[in-house]
Amino acid sequence: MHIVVCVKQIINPDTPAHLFQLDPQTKKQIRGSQPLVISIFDEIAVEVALQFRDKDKSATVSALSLGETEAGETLHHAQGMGAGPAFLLSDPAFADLDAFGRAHVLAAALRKIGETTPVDLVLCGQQAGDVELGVTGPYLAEALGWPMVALASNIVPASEGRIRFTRPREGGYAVLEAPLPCVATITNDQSNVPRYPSILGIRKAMKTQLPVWAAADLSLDRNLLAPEAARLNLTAIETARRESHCEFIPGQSAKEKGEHLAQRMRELKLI
Amino acid sequence: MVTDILAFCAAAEHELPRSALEVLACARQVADAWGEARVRAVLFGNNVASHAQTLIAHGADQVLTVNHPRLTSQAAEPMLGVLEQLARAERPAAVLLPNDLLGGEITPRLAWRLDSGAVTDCIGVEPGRSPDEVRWVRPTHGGKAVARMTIIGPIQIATVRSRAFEPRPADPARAGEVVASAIDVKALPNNVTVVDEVTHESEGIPLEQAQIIVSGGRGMGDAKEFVHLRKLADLLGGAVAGSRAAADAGWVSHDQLVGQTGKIVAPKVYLAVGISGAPQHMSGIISAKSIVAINTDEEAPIFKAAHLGVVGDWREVLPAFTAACEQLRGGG
Ligand SMILES: Cc1cc2nc3c(=O)[nH]c(=O)nc-3n(C[C@H](O)[C@H](O)[C@H](O)COP(=O)(O)OP(=O)(O)OC[C@H]3O[C@@H](n4cnc5c(N)ncnc54)[C@H](O)[C@@H]3O)c2cc1C
Repeated sequence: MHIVVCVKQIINPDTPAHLFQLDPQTKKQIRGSQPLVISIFDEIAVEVALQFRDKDKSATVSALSLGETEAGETLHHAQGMGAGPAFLLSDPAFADLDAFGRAHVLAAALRKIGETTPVDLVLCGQQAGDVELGVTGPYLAEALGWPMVALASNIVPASEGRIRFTRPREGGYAVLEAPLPCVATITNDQSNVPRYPSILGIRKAMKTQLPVWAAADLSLDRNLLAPEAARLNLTAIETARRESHCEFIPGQSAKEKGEHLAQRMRELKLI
Repeated sequence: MVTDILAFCAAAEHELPRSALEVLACARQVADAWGEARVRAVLFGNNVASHAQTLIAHGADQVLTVNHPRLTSQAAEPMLGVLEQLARAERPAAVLLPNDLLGGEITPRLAWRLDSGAVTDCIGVEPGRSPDEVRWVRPTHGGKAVARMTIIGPIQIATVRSRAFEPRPADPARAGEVVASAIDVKALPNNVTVVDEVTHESEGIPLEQAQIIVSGGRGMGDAKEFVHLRKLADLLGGAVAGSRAAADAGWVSHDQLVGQTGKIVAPKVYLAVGISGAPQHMSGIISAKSIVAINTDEEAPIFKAAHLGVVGDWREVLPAFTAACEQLRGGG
């Protein structure tokens, strides 16, 4: 079983609101002094793949990222958690692609990876932690022509050529089965909180050569990289303003504030 | 030529979900702005025809029923197939879906097949006067930014965030036609099968229906401390929820997680205890009528959105608050 997890590097999504700034030219977040991190659901997807491999030692977990050179760190993070081979897709021609174009590049890379070791399963986080579109997984399913399972939280072994997933739903979960190869998007639940990467693992990963593929290394229709190929246009983006009108409950002590809160809420007919 | 806007409605095992009426409200807004446009609700499920009149009363001009036992709430693939056939045959100008499990999968896949773009999780729309003028409004970066996007392609495909659009009041006098789809659902590909469904004993009121939600975060410190929240929730007739930090720690179940990746709730009162107010949490409670926060840190972002705030340790504030509530209740 060869699982490839797509991981995106993003600017720390916990950037406090008062430090969050947008570049009016590029319409992207200004990084400032914020760290670059692995997008949270992609990290969970790595965890889900590794949990499967913990049970089935013959499985291979690869990590694939499209980004700038720094995205290598995100791949090292995945490898520090336990992922095996890693692949970076980096080319100035990829820099301004929309989700549609990026999915074409990722699909081309998945085909190339599959030439050496056939890919059985592609995992993507349910959405990126920055733009939060949630389209990459479904796009890859379409680009590859594979079935997909959305919002799974775990992989469960199944009979030859098939795979099962748990999917949380209201008041419980469903178990779904799909033929391989397939694509799944990954959501979080209690069972898949990501493990910490081991420092040793990251060091080891940094010493191995990371394959970096540009557009020329992939069998990819060049027209798909042209600005005209975009399917989405970000016409405007602005920071959300939240006005503060909080009425702070007074009191000599915390206990008194608690009592005053109840009275105030009663006055406002909230309780 | 009349421009069609398709509004996706799935009423699989349940009642017609509120989200269906929200999607209709969005479709109606767009149709009314364009003029000459027709809202067609595509109603999926098994024996769903009974919901058709409700959809018409809430803004549909036509209801297309797609009936099949296969069309459950887990069956995105055949629904995708139906929409693809419809879109290819009848060339609607737009397809709108709820931003949930089904909409989240179907929307990008449909857009890919129809060579168009997809915008997810819209909280608003600026319809312009024709399909090529639409701007979709959606939050990004955990609600720290708001983006306006246009779709480049032959069809507008978007999902709308839960609670972002208010359903239109029902107008029983509205007229509309009900048509049964002739598409052969059985012939459509369905690779993904549900092999098991497990339901836990659910305790208390579902979050989406609760008028009062008592929610705890990392500041609660430990799973066992949630008994204090439960006690208060029981007293007020509310439900208990938690932040992602609480859910990841296993203090509350995944079902109780509130926020962008959990439940989007709209209670009368949302009481946040030991929750910092990260944007991803706040985007789940934007529609709460009032937010009350208890937090030791007066700088905590939660106070930026809260209507009432108490700066203090919940260990001291909450027992006094609960006792006072008990008294107020007792005294009528
Ligand atoms: C893509 C993405 C999606 C996410 N989705 C969600 C989501 O859906 N829902 C969600 O909740 N989060 C989500 N998060 C996580 C979110 O960013 C925060 O990390 C999380 O909400 C923090 O939870 P918290 O407020 O409980 O913990 P913290 O941020 O650690 O806050 C704890 C608070 O408790 C206060 N406190 C401590 N002790 C006490 C005391 N004794 N009395 C009173 N107050 C006390 C502290 O002052 C602090 O403000 C998401 C993150 C990302 C990147």
